[in-house]
Amino acid sequence: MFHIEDKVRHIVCPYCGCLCDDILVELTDGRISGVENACTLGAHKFLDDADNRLKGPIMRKGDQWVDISYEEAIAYAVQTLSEADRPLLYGWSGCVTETQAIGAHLAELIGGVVDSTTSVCHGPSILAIQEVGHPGCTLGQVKNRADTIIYWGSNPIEAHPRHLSRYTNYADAYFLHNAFRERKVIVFDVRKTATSEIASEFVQLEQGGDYHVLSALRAIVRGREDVVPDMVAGVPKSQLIRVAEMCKKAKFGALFFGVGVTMTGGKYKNIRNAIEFVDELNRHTKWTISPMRGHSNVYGSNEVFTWITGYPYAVDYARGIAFYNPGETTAVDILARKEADAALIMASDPGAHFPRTCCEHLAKIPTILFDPYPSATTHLCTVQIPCAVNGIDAAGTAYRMDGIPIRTRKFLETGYPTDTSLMHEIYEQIRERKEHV
Amino acid sequence: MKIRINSGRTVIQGSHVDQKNSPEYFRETSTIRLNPVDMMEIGIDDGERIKARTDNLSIVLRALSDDSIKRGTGFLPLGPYANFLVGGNTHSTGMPDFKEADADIEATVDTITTVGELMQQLGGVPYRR
Repeated sequence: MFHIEDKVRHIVCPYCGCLCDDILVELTDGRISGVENACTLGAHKFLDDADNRLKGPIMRKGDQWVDISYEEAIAYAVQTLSEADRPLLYGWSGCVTETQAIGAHLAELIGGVVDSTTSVCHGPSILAIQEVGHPGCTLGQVKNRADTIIYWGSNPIEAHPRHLSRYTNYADAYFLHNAFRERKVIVFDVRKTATSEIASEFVQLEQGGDYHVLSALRAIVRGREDVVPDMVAGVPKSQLIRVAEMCKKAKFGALFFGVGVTMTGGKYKNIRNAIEFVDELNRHTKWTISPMRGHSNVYGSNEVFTWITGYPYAVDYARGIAFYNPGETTAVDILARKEADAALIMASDPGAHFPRTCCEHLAKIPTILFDPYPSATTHLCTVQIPCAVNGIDAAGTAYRMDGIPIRTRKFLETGYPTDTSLMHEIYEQIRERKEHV
Repeated sequence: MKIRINSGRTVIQGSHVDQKNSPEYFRETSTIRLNPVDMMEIGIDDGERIKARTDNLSIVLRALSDDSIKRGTGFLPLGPYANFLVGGNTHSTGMPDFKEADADIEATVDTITTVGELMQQLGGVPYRR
């Protein structure tokens, strides 16, 4: 039997916020047969893709699922969203920025709320940045200059597996002679993780103790260790003094924080404290701080929504103008209050990642899901529309976790419509419908 | 016994996010890591099941002993099982208490619901194709 084999280089992995752009994909007879350079998470994304796709749109009728055409699915979405009083347009982190832009415009057109998965990952980080600013930098700066790295409430070996090899501990650096020997990695976490195993210093704190430990470190760096008690949230003062010294001795330090800090205790106040700790360190040496963004293009949603609406997420157009009040206009709050009367879920899975009360409400209202694969939300939605996957059979722009826009590549032709074309069609049909009313 | 449940990414959970209805995802996200001494106190061995109860709701999970877990805490990979125990209050921040679910746990012989069955309990209709 004759096989057509091909290798495609410089593919961008659409899994996490690292957006690794050096992936090599092997194709055999138009199917992905091998992946090089990707981590386990990325390799699964590519290798398992073909077998997982939903074949075509499906609709829930009573307690049955029936196949429908794309035209029927679009017509349903147009009617549902046009007639809704309080539509929620949620997700947007797995799709390209071009689709996100249509989502923001659609929210304005129908007086809905547009929110991205930011609100349940680094939303608190954005609130903190809005309070005290963001002393950040690109990952290229970290790779080439940083000699001290902190991972706080983040386990990159399991969540961003190539972060360490591309940008921190295992990466070569232009300005360090022997980067691997010279770099120190400090891990703050409530539990031992794969990342804490490779750390030069592991600080294990009590769950919810981040704010206390950050405050203690700020006091020590400021020269006020006399006010710090002997133990702070399970961490001995002597260790905090040692870590503060390591941080002050760094020539270039980079603090990366994960959702271990955004989801617990004081939420955005934790991040504010972390930024102010970095601010304090900058009186002594150079330090930066950056969030470990999870989804491939979740950062893009913040950029796009900010250009178009003025706000990075949780934007409510019910008043005809953009209104932003996280805690009120965020997806979880709107669903928990049982306010939304229709939902469009784009490229995300609230069924797996939202509190149960929100899932219960999604199951009650018309919910239109755009996802290439059957997910947990599939069981809750009314209609699911499969679309092409960004970075496999669709191309567009995605923002890396440090705010660098990267063009993803399409290397397969599958016949699935892109989410951009589907959203464009829905937007145009609703606009025409509104003009005729 | 009262424990505080933390959640987060694991490689197996993360590798199967596009296969939420697969046996691998089901097994990983419904397995809670507990301190071995806590497991001894409630009288269960590795692979046996517990019922975690919060706000008059309960969910059955598989228990796995892990001595890196502190007593009185548990680690459940993120997913529908972990979030079943999370309430909708965000304290006006938009962010629920994902990593701080307090639950009562006890030994059980009940079976673990699949992702589809769990969504059915929340009002959905399982899609099984």
